[in-house]
Amino acid sequence: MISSIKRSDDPAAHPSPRLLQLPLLLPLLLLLTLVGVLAAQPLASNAELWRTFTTVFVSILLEAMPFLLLGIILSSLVHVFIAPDFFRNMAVKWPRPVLVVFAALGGILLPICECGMIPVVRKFMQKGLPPAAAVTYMCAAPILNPIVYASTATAFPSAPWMAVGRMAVAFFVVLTIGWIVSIIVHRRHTFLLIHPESYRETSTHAKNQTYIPLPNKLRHAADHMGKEWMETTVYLTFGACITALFQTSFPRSLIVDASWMNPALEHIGLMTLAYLLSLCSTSDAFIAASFTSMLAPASLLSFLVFGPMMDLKTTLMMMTVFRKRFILLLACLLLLIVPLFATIFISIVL
Amino acid sequence: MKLFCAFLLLGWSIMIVYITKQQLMPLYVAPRMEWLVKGSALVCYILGIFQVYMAAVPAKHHSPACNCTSLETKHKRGFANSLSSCSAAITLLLPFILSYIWPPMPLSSQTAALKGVQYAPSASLKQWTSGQASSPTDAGSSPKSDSTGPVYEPSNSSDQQEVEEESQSNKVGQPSQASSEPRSATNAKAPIFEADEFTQIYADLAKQLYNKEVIVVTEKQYMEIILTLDLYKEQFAGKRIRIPGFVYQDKEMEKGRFAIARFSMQCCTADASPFGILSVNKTKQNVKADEWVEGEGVLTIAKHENNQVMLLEVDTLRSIPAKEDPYVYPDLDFGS
Repeated sequence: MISSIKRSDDPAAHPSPRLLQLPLLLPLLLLLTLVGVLAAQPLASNAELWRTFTTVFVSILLEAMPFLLLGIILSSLVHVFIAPDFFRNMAVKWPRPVLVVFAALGGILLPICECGMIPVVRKFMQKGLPPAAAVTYMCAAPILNPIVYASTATAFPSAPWMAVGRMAVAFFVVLTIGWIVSIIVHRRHTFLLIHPESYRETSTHAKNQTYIPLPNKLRHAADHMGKEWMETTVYLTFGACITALFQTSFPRSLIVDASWMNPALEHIGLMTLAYLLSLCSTSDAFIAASFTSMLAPASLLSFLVFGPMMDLKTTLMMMTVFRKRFILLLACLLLLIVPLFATIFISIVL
Repeated sequence: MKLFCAFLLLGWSIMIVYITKQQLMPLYVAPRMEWLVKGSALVCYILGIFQVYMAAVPAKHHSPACNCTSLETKHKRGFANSLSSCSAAITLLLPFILSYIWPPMPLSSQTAALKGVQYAPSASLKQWTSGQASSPTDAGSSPKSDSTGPVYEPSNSSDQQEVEEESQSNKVGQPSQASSEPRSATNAKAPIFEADEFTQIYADLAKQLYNKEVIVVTEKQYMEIILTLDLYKEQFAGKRIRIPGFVYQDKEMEKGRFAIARFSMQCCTADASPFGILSVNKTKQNVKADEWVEGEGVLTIAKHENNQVMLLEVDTLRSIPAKEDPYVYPDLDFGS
C-alpha cells in the first residue's frame, strides 16, 4: 500500500496502462507471425507440426521447471531468513569494484541457471545488493560455473581452450556490464527497475519478521513461493511458447547461410540464433559444436557467451524486475561487447 | 488466487506423473535429467498442498505491510487488471490445453529438415585439432604441438591442418608400418587409425569396430560410432555397416538417396539435433520419409553439398517398428 502511494508521486515510474501492455506487444507480434507461418504449411502436415510444437513447448517447460522451483525456493528462503540489510551492509563495507568482481564469480558459489535466476536476483536487490552487482551476477552465474565449464569441455573434446575461452570472455563481459550499470545507476536512479521504491522498503518490513515464530515464517515463505511461481511461470510459459514455435517453424540454415557473408554478420546471426533458441547453458555447447565445421570459432564463442546472458525466455522474465529500456540497453551492450571480447580472445589463442 | 495457484501446481505434478506412467518421458527429456523433473513434480505437489492449506486456514496474525510480492498486478486497476490476469491465466493453462489438443510425438523428418541433418560430425573435430595445435596456451602441455606448432603460419588454417595431419601420420606410422596409406583400408589387415590425444578414444573404438564382420551402429553408442566411422571413413570404406533409424529425405539429395537418421538429445527436445548416414537405395523396396528402417550395406564415400561424406550403399532394407525411445544420447561412459 505504502508503495502504491509513493508510486503515484513519481511520474517516471507511472506509465499509462497502454504502455504497461507494451512489453507483451513485441513478443506477441512475433508469436502471430510464427503462427501464421505454421498455419500456412501444407494441410496434411499441419497436425504433425503442431504436435511437434507442443512436444517442444512442454519439453522446455518440464526442463525449466526444476530450476525455476529451485530459484523460487532459494529466493523465498532468503526472503524470510536472511537479515534485511545483509547485502546492504556488505555493500557499505566493500568498495563497488570488489563487489562486482565478487558478483561475477558468484556463480561458482551459487550456480543458478537462467530459468531460476530472476526471483533470486530480485530478492537479492530487495535485501540491499546494489543493482550493478545484481546485474553482474544475473549475467555471470549461468555461464561462470563449473557445470557449464564441464559441459562445454565435453562438447568440444578437441579444443579445451573453447571452454576456457567461454569462461574468460564471459568474465570480462560481465565486468564491463557491471561497470557500465554502476555508472548508469549513479546518474539516473530510476533507469533500472520497474518499481524502485519496493526495493527500499524492506528494512521496516523485515524487522517485524524477526519476532515471528518459525511456523509462521515458513508459512510466509510458502506464500511467497506460490506467488513468485505464478508470476515467473507466466513469462516462462510465454517465452517457451515462442521458442518452441521458432524451433518448429524456422529453418536454422537460413541464419547460418546468411552469416557467411562477413564476420560481423556471423557474430550477429549466431547471437540472434542463441537468443531465439533459448537453450540451457549446459546444452548449448553441443549445438555450437555442430556448427564448428561451418563457422569461425570467434562467432561460436559469441553464441556461447550471449545465449545464457540473454535469451527469449529470460528477457520475458526480466520484465518482472527491470525496465524495458534497461533490458534493451543491456541487449545492445551485449551485442557489442560479446563479439569484441570473443574476437580478442580468439586472436590471442589462435 | 491461492486456489488457482494450487490448482496449477497440482496440475503440473499430476501431468508429470501422467507422463511418467504413460512412458512418454523419453519424448520430452533425456534420461539423465528425468530425476530432476520427477523431483520438480514432488516439489510442485508439496507447494500445491501448502497453497490449499493456506487458502483454507487463514493466518492467525497477518504480517504487516508486506509489499514484496506481486508487483505486477498490484498497480493495475479495473479492466486492465482483469484483462492482464485473464491473459496470464490463459498463458498458464496453455501447456495443458495444447498437449490435450495435440498430443506429443517424437520429432520427425520435418523438424530434421529445419534443423539440418549432419552427415559428417567429425568435421568439427578435425578443424579444432588444427586450431588446437597452434594455440600458444596449450603449447606447453601438448607434446604434439612441440613438433608441429612452430612450423606453420597461424593465418592459414587449411594448410595448417594438412601439415599437421601429415606430421601425425608420420609419427604414428613410423614405428609400426612403413606405408600407412589409407587406401589399403580394404585389406584384411587393420589399417592405421591416426590419432592425437583428443581423437585417441575414437581410434580405439575404430580398432574394435574394424574387426567385426558387420559393424552395427548400436543404440548406446550411436553418436560415437557414426563419428568414428566418419573420422576414419577412408579406412572403413568397403566395410559392411548396419544402421537403424528413421528415413529422411530432402530436395538437395540426388535421386534414390535418403538418410538413415536419429535425433540426439542432450537435455530436452529443444536441443535435439539430427544426424545420420547418407544412403543410396540399391534395393527394390521403396522408402518413405519418417519410416523406421534398418539398412545394411557397404560404406563408400561420395560428394554431398560440396562435402565428402559417407555414403551407405544399402542392399538390405528392413522395416522395423518405431523405437520406443526415438532419441539417442551421448554415451557418458565413452572413453573412460
